[in-house]
Amino acid sequence: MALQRLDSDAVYNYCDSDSFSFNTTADIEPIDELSQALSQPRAVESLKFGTAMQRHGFNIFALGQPGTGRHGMVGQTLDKKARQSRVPSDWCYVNNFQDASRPRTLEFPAGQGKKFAEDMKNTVLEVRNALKASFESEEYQNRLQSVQQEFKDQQQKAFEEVNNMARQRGLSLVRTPNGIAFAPLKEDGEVMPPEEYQQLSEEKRKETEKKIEELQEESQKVFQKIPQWQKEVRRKIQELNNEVAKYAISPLIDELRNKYGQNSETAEHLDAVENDILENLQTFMTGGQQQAQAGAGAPQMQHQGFISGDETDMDSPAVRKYKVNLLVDNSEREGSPVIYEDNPTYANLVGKVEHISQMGALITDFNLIKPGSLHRANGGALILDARKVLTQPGAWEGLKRVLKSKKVKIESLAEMFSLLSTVTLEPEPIGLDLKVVMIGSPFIYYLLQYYDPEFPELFRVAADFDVQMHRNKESQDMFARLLRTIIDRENLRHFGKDAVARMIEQSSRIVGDGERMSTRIKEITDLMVEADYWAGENGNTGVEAADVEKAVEFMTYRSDRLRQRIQEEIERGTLIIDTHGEVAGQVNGLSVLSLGDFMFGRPNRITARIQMGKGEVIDIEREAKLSGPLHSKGVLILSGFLGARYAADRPLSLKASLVFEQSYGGIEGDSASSAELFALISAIAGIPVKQGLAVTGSVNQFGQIQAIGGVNEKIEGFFDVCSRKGLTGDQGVLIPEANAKHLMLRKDVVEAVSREDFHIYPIKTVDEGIELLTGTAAGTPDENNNYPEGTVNGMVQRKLAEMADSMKKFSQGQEQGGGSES
Amino acid sequence: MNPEKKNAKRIILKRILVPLDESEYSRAALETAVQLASALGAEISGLYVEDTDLLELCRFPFAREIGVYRSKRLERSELERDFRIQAERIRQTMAIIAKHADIPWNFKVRRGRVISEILDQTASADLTVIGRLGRSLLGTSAGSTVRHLIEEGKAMTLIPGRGARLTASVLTVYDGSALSARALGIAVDLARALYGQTEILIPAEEENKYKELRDRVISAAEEAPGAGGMRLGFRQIRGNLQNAITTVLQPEYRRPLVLPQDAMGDSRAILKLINRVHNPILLVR
Repeated sequence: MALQRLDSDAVYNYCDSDSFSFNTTADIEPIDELSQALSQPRAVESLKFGTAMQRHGFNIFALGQPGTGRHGMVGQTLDKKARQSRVPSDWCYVNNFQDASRPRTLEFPAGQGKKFAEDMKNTVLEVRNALKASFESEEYQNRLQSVQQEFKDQQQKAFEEVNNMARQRGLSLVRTPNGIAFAPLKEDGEVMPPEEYQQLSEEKRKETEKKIEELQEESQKVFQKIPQWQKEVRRKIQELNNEVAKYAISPLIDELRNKYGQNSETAEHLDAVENDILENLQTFMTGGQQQAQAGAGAPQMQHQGFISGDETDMDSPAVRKYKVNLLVDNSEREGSPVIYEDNPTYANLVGKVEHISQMGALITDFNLIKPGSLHRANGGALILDARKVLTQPGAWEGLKRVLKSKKVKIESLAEMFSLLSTVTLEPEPIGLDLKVVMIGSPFIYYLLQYYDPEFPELFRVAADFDVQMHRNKESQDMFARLLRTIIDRENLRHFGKDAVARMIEQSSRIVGDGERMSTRIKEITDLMVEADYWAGENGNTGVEAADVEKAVEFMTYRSDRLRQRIQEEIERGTLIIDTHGEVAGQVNGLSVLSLGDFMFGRPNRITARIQMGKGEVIDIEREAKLSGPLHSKGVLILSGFLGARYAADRPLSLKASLVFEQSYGGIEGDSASSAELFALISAIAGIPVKQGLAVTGSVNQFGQIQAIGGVNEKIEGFFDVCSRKGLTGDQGVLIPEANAKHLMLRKDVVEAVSREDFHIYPIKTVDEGIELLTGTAAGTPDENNNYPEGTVNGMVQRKLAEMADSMKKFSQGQEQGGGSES
Repeated sequence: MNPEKKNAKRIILKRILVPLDESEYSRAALETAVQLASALGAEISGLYVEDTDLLELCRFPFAREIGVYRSKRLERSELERDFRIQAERIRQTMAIIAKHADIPWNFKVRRGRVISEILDQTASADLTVIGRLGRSLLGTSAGSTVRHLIEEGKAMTLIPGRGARLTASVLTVYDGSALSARALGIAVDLARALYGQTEILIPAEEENKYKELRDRVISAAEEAPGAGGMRLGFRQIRGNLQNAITTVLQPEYRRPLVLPQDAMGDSRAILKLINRVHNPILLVR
């Protein structure tokens, strides 16, 4: 069987920089949209469909690995759509004069909300000025005085009557701090001193006292009428005030009505404002403050206080209620909004009602309603990170509730859970018409699909972003333009065409596939930024291929402490790996360790021991619970393969044990199953395996070698060990042929392959592998399914036949021995 | 600093007395006094009198206080307590207003007959500002205290009008007498302190007389220090002076009248004028 090893061109898919039509990235145009460069047709079409579909529940979940341009592409797709869409309405919250705890909403065409808020503010100030002017006017003062005078006249008339009665009876009316009193008069009209009074005859005194008693009764009757008169005068003053105020206010409010009254809700609100001002003139005029100078000579009629108060502050308690809380202002917007909520807490999404502390108590009103991103995005699109939404308390449930009801109701979490006793508001919900795009990993997407029955109803469009894209001339050219875009955005030096080519190669390496390129913009950007740094360090005006190479090396260097340590321990013999010689039942397998975003390969010694048994292949890793299910599956396949190939007509009388030597952390995956099979075959046939070779690949029951992941890292892992121990020219790695296209090996490995110091063997079958490992023909079966002697398969078949015979004899002996005993 | 104080050049009013009770007129008097003190750089002295006539009344066995809401025996101890409460309330109000205007102030409580105590205190004041009515329930005409002050008082007296604040346009009467010249000087100074003008009513049946008196004022004004800041207006009055004053004053109830005491004849005429117009009247003696 003639097996070819791969030459250096086959282990690295070079990018030919001469194929570019530019010398540096300065010569090319940046891309307009990420989707031009990152070939994600499925995701892009899904996004376009999702944004165009205006039906309930057609929100979008953009799933993919971080750094694959999800945010950028989602943003650009939505922006494009938004530019063609109409600007959505402005939304305001205003006071509900019937129930202040339930603020009302007003909707205005874009830009009108802001104007309305400003007009309302100005009008309120004008109303106050107009009222002040009216109440300070001579006319009002005269009419007020006339009303008050009427009361005074009434009062005066009554007291004059009392006074006259007193005078007629020889008594005087005296004012006391809280009313009046009566005293006897002397003949000269002065109040009689008590001593003098005592000198009067008893009869005279009794007569006087009787008169006083009568007068007291009379005056009491007069006093009892006063509250009623006061009430009447208050009513009249109220009427006067309303008349004057209405005359002053109405023209101003009418201006607003003419401007905004087409909307019936706004017209209703303006009516309510006018009525409320009329009903609360006193507090409106004084800004809700007590009159500072109340006290001495306090007026009998509180209504006189209208002319005091210079409050022009719109935050004064009496005026705040007429303000307009402009919740969503689209006056400056072009097209519909696209909002990215970086911190999607419940409150940031649905808005909140803030409180202020006043006299130790928390109070609030509609002016303290703050919008959430759902409000700001209303009429457009909202972009959210799924993981953030799911990890914020209440945010996911709140978002779903809003999307289901198509209304945003501002309600705090504490209210939701009935934890709040502070007075708060129940603002009127705002109708919602927006597209929500959640960005998350496939894991989250499938988790939600599986566990949340509402999720598929609300996020019907999945935009699936791949981590890789095809690599061809066209995509390489677009990739170069993508680099130009990143250079502009990050303000980097321009890349020479060799550096661009190196970036493309590294992009292939990132996805572990020579025919693909990475779509992970973040990783690409990081590499470019570091290459730019090294270009600076190296004194280059532009970034060269060597700078990219240095960046790659240094990124690896920063992460590869553990890899280095393992390599050193292998070199020192702590971890036993042979890289030359031949040993039966012992094969170098390859595994990959993943540390965050850094992966590296390492060889593992796999050994097999056999003995007579009942067809069991014992996976020691599995027995020790150190293997995952895929690894166990791979080992179980071996039994199927062995039995079918070598012992189809007799029992497989073998007991074999397989182990990953010096493995302490657990094994997962079936990529070592071919190596385990080779170790087993070697052990059964008793034929040694070349230790200069390592093997990776999974095997099926028909003996075919199947593709595995991390092929580059695995090859490099074994190469590093060989390199440290000394390259002999016979060393190399057997890989599944299907993995050949994935090869993007490190530069030093490629050079070793080029020098023929190290070899890569693509294999399709077990037989190809066993021939390479043992240097002995595998052998093909004849018509009776017997393998020729001297071949590996022949040796295995015979050994298994011998074991089956021995087993049979042993079993018979056991049975006979057992019979004699019985 | 209050700019009005800078203009206080000639009127020497160091102490303004304000007899106070809890009537609305009393409050207007206080506010007017504060405005004047602020403009002229004077100190205001509040005065509250605990009326001994009332205290005496308690000694009658039948003395009862009849109020809107209750009627009860008039007890001296309760009355004294009411006085204290009232005085304290007035003092607090005065403190607020005076501090707000940033003027020096003091407040006194005296016990005695109201008019005697006020007359007694006016002796040490340059000006007395008193509400046109006290707490009398009887009538809108000037109260007894005002009446006594006009009849018996020796110092200048200001009876505020309906509006507490004075406007800057000051009206006075000049008939050539020494007192009317003094009143004119005070009116001019007051107008300047308030950044206003002075309108001078000259009672003269004949044109020549009017011109003579007017020219006298003009030449005096030209010689006066700081004459540049004066703005003077003249009006000839024929016939009844009271009617003329009333006609001029009525359109603007805050416009002050600086009146020489002898201009109207006797004090009854002054009282009559006070009862006819709602303007502040500063009686110059």
